[in-house]
Amino acid sequence: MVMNYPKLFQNKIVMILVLSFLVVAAFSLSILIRQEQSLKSVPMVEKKDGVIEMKKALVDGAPVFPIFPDSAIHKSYKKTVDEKMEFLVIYEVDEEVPVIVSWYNKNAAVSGWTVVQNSDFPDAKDEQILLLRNNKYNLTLVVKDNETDGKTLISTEFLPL
Amino acid sequence: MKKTFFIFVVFWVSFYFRTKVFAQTVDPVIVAGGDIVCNNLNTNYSSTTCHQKFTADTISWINPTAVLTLGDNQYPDGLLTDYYNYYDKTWGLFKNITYPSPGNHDYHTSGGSGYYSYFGERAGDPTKGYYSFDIGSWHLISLNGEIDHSTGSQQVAWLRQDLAAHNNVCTLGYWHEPRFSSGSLHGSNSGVAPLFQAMYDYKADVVLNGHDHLYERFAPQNPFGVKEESRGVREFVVGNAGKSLYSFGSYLPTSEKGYNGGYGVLKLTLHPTSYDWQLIKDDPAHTVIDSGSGTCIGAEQVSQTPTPTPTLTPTPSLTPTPTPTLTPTPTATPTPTPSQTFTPIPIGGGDACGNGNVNIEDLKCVLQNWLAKLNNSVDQFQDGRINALDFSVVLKSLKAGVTPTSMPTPTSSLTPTPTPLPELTNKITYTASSIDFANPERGFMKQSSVFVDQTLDLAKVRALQPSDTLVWIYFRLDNYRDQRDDYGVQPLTDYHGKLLDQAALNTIEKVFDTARDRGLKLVIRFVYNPGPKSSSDPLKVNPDVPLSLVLDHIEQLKPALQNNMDVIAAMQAGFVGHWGEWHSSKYLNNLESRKKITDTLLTVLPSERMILLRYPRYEQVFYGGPIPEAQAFTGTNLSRIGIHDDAFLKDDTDDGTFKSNAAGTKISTYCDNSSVGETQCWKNFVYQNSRYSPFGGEASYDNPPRTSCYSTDVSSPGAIAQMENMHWSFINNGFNTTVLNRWVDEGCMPDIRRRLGYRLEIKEAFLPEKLLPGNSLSVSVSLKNSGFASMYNFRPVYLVLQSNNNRYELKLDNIDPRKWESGKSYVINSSVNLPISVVPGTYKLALWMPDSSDSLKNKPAYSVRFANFDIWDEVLGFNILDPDILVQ
Repeated sequence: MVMNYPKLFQNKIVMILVLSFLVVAAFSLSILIRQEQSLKSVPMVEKKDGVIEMKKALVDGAPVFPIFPDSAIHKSYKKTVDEKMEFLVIYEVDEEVPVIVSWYNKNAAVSGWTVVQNSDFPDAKDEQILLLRNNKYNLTLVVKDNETDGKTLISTEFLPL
Repeated sequence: MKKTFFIFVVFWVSFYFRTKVFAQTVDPVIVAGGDIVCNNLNTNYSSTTCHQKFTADTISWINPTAVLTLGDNQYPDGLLTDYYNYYDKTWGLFKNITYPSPGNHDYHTSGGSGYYSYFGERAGDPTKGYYSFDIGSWHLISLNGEIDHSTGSQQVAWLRQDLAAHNNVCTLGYWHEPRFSSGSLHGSNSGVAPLFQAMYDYKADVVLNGHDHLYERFAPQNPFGVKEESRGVREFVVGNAGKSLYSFGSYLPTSEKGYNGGYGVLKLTLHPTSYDWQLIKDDPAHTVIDSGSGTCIGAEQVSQTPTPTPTLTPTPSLTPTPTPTLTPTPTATPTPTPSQTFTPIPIGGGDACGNGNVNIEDLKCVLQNWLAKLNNSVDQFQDGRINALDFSVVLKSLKAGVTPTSMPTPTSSLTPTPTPLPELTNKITYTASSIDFANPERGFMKQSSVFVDQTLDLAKVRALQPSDTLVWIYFRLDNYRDQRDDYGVQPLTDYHGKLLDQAALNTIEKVFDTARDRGLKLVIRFVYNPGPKSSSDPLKVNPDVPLSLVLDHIEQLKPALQNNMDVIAAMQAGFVGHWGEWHSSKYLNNLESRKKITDTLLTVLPSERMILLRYPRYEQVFYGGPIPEAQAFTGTNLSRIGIHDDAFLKDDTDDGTFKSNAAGTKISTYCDNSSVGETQCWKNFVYQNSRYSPFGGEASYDNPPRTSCYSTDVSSPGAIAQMENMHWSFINNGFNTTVLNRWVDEGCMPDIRRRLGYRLEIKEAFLPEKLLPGNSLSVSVSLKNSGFASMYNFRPVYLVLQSNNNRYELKLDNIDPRKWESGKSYVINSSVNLPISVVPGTYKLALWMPDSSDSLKNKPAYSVRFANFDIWDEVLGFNILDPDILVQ
């Protein structure tokens, strides 16, 4: 059976050009779509100046979370991001990073928090990060040696689920 | 047809080869990042820390000309063994193109020995660690923040010499700790201000830093953190290159983008007179998190000069190909807007695309540029970057044959819900906005001295930031005073009788005219003696003028003050003593003279405006303050007196502001028997008085914790609390910069910028769904004033019905917005008659609060904007309550 293609498409060179165009177009489109999806899925923290309150004490409404013994509040924030309330509380304490991280591993569960991701490097003395969660918040816990004053900073950032 | 088809096919094929195979421009690409390598060999991408392998993979993919490290290259201590065991296996792959800078962790070893041993000559002289070099047409400077970088240091002297010696159009500097950062764990560092200052002074374009483990991009700004779009230095913090991620605290006013959702590196394409940036995530898709372009400060001078030959070849293995000269032939003709013409973009030079590498960004960039010519509003989301989402919107709009607009539709944030009210059936809630924007008669003000007998520099009458609307003018009368102080101009023999000449009065008028032209208002003061350079000779000390001449001068100024009342926000009493601040006066120390001056000013200045005295004790003894509520805004002398404080937070009394005595003499006995003590008594006086009159001034010398944003000390609760208590409406943004920088560094500056003066926010409104001509229009609008203060000058409130062809202004009587006090909520319940002549149709219903003067009423810059999303019409200067209301 002979197909009745237009004359133009019976030229092999033209056919090759058309096919190459289609391949390029499909390839380009697929990458653009992939990029768009990728951009959408990135957990971006955009600049949104939603700080409602900053204190050198605990801001009102901060979630209940175990406080490492003898910690002092360095500062705390209450923010609104995407109409949700976020909290950031930073403590300072005289203790080594691994000791503090170990303490939180033992004591977080008592207050209803679950360690979602433990520190990958539990012996690191300069800095460790834990991810925790309860029924309302994701919590990023950063424990960091603050070399400027010899204290250790404990940053607790609560993002609503 | 056949010919057209061929052209079409040839275009696409050439397009592909240009973008995917032969995409070659000679502009170099560099990559930068800081806070990079842990002392482990983590290969788990899901790990929350230690992503150095993945950021290194990203660099490989970018294939840059050079890599800049922004310090803290090897954790935790920069040991040489760690450098070889960990850094060398990841970022060390690019060692031969790396231009490093050290961080504090690299200096945990003595003198940064591990860092210098590992990088060798690439790190410069180990006793200095700072060096400079050129890439393409750019001059780059690596600085060392771990050694002395104070203003008088050897390093800063070298930096200034280096900047002076290199007149490249574009300059980039980098070091570890950022001058500005919104990070919560480190934040801004004023210690590196000398480095930033030098970069600014020599018009450098870009500064790169790390230290805070996050990504942040700033608008071009000056060393004080004030945005200067065409002159400032753009800073990037790129501290998310591997080690860990930190949280943001309060965003600084100039912050344009913040990201701590993952790791990445900054890719910069260095064009001859501009640059493109991309923050590229370390994921397999190489997601672009942030992107944009900037023009070098010196670009205007060389826009016509040929491209210099780069000193480094980006990709030696690829040979640049001459740019094809083909012009794309669109297969579909888009519908341009009347003001736009469609100009096909030649695929080739001038499109700012391509970086010497072959990647999808080139394709995307070329397409974006092409589409941008079709429509100038590609960045649909107005987020500073053109991304795939914008791209898809444009594609959809082209497909639909419509032109996308960059203006969001107001209806997006207006949520009508049913209401049980019989008349007002349309309840609308409004979304509060936290952005800083301009509003009349409030905010930061630039202080300028205008010598009335000299040629006026119009630049003195300007705002420093787009959200500033006030200028603080000192009208300087130095040459009309007693000159016998051995300073200033030569002594005058006729000083006692020297009146203002016409040229001086003309200069004053010109200042007011300029303010009016520029949408500004003025806080004014007249000054004879700028002090403090006075002689110790009693005959020469503290020169001003005798009372009779002050009064003559005020009489001369009367026409200017009355004719320009519209652009006078408030007038400070001035005239007396150093800086007109009512201390250190030669002729005007006695109370009678001072009261006479104040009384005269109250007579000369129109009754709609207020006079600010420097000290509350004089208000109390002259007029019996503080202003009681019953007397507020009644036009009495007392009701027209406010206070200015030019020593804010200097000490507990603000340098004597809150004292009963002046130079040992009791002025007022008002606080003599106060149970709270003299100082607090006068503060309480101001707390009350400033509810109904303006209060403003300037910060004094830094004195933490008193000058801190917040303080737990009850006696000095910090700047924010005092501004709330004293109802600050305006403050000098040029003094004292140490205090202002403290507020920037501590993160409360955005709050101060927003809240100085009034800040009105509409909560909800009950509105009719439709209107009938001749019937009443009733509204109920709930609002809150979240600013530090209330308004102090009256302005009317209108409802406006606006359509394309018709406008009806309906004034709401018996509403005085000066009584909307700080921190309180109010409801406007009003009903007005709709004229019978209203033309049926669809209208916008808006709340309009213009200036009370006829001269400014129709200038949007002088109308009040509410702090809500999507309701402000900047062209018409009103706040849209309902974008679509029907008049039947």
